Amino acid sequence: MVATDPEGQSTRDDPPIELKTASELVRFAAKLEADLARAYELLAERYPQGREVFLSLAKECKRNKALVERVYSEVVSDALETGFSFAGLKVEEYELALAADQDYAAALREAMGFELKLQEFYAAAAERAKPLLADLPRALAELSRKRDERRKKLAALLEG
Amino acid sequence: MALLEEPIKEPLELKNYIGGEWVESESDRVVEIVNPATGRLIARAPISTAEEVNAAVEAAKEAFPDWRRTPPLARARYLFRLKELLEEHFEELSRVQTMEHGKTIDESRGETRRGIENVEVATGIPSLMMGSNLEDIASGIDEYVIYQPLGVFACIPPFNFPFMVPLWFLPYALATGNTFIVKPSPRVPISQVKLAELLEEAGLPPGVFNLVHGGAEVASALIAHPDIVGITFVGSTPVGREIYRRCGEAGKRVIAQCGAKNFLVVLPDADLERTIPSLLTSFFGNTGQRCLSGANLVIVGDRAFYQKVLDRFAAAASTIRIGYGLDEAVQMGPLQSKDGKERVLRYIERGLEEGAKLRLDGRKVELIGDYPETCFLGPTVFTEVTPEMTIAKEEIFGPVACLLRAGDLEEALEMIHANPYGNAAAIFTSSGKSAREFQYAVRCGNVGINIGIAAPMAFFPFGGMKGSFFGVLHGQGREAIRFFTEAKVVIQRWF
Repeated sequence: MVATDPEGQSTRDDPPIELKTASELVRFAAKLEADLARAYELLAERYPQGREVFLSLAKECKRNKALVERVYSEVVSDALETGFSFAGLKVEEYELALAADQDYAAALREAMGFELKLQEFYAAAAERAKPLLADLPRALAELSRKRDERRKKLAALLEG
Repeated sequence: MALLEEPIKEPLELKNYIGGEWVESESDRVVEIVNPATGRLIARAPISTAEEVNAAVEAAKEAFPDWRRTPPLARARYLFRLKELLEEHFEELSRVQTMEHGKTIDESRGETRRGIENVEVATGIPSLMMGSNLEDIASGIDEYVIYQPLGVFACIPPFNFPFMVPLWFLPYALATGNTFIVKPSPRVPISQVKLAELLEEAGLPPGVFNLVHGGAEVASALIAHPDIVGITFVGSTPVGREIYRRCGEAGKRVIAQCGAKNFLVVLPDADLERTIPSLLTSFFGNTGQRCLSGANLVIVGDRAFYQKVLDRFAAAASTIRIGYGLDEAVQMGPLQSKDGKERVLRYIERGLEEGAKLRLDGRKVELIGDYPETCFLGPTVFTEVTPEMTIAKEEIFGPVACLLRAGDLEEALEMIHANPYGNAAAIFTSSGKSAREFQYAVRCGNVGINIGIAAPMAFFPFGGMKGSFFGVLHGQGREAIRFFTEAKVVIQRWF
């Protein structure tokens, strides 16, 4: 029933369909950012023509991960609706999987798709986090907004 | 999602911390601390002897003169070091609370954060403790007030917030130059031991902080001890009232924060979408085991509105995921003990006997994961409750919501005022006028407006009225500073 993950934690093999608690949400957001950072690092290896942009996006993903974890840790309170605010956020709608073998243009389009997914994820999470202290929904909304800029950088590579 | 790693692998043998040393108790009486979710033994704590209580008081008394002379800024620096250590150990401290208490990891982290916030506020002691003066109260004569520490204080906290409650008092007591003894709840002493380890690591001088394990006898010995100048207590009303009486007779200071029966009032103009998560948090957060938990949900308006709120509330409550709090998917953990669960079960039976109806029966509980049901109970929603029923009057301290109906806000206020407690109350409305009227009239120490848990931040006092509080000054913030200091007024003239 229980397996251990690389961070020394264990994971249940029957993940829930929906995220419900703030703790789950933050862990999932951190995982998305970490997955995306790894994906960009891989793209940087595969496609030298976009290397600089990919690496900067990867670096930003790592900062995003740190931001969401820090804000949660700073505002979490037993008195707020951390356990009851995130109903309806479905994990499978936002999970990322980088295709193994594709050309540069297809890889860029896929990355833009990932950014869109994260934009939607953070927007939905920010909306649900409204009952919590303002810092968390504000951080989530900011992480959603950032995706436009990131998509533009990828689009510029595609056009260039 | 993740089942977080347990920080306690083997049962701990807990010791007292007296005069800067970890001391094994001479007592042969031991309390076993069991993880309420898994049923596994996680620690053993002694019931300390009278000699050990005396030794703790003696150590604290001995440490007081030097500590008092330590400049406030230097005392604050110990708290800055403590704050850093608490941040470093944030996750471990939170997981320990979940293991000993049963609450979810979100709730434990929230408790850790609120505890740290009190340390942060107390670091401002050079400003907070400052007195005031006035020149020329008569020609050539000046007058000023200075605030001085009193001596040795003791803290008797409850089981429901094992880490946070002592921190409503401890940082302020130490910052003002007093010395301190904590007697943790024998049901959940581990996180206080962890806190003591961090205070030791912060380099606090021996005797400034002490910890003695034990139950009611140890608490009683501390209250009676002639060298203890004041007590802070959080727990039940009968015990709080008795402590208040004994401290009053002995001329000791006391803060006694006690039981509660909190009313949440929903008006027809409330934003229900936002209100429901707040209600869930209030009634079922911490498995209903907090003095600020919602107990009675008063729905104001006609039968149709009552039904609408009931349907939405019960539907949302029925989806709450119950299990071990270290599983991040879990929204509600077990009750802290088997006894606590049995007490709640007796109230459920009583409610049914007195004619209330169960819309949601928590006795049929479905758990996430394979755990013994010993301490678990699901969200329970009673309808057709009237104010004179036992379940509407007495503190249940579990995940039980009692729904009542009132014709208007005035009737809702009458219900609240007929109850002997006055800890917290909340109103859900989009009308500023109604909210203002409620805030003005309600006789409760902590009021929520569209907030289900009206928990004061560390820089505000933690209120309480009627049978929920005995004392004058409250814990946290400036009131705590006043509680732990004595005003000395000086009038001076020079010839």
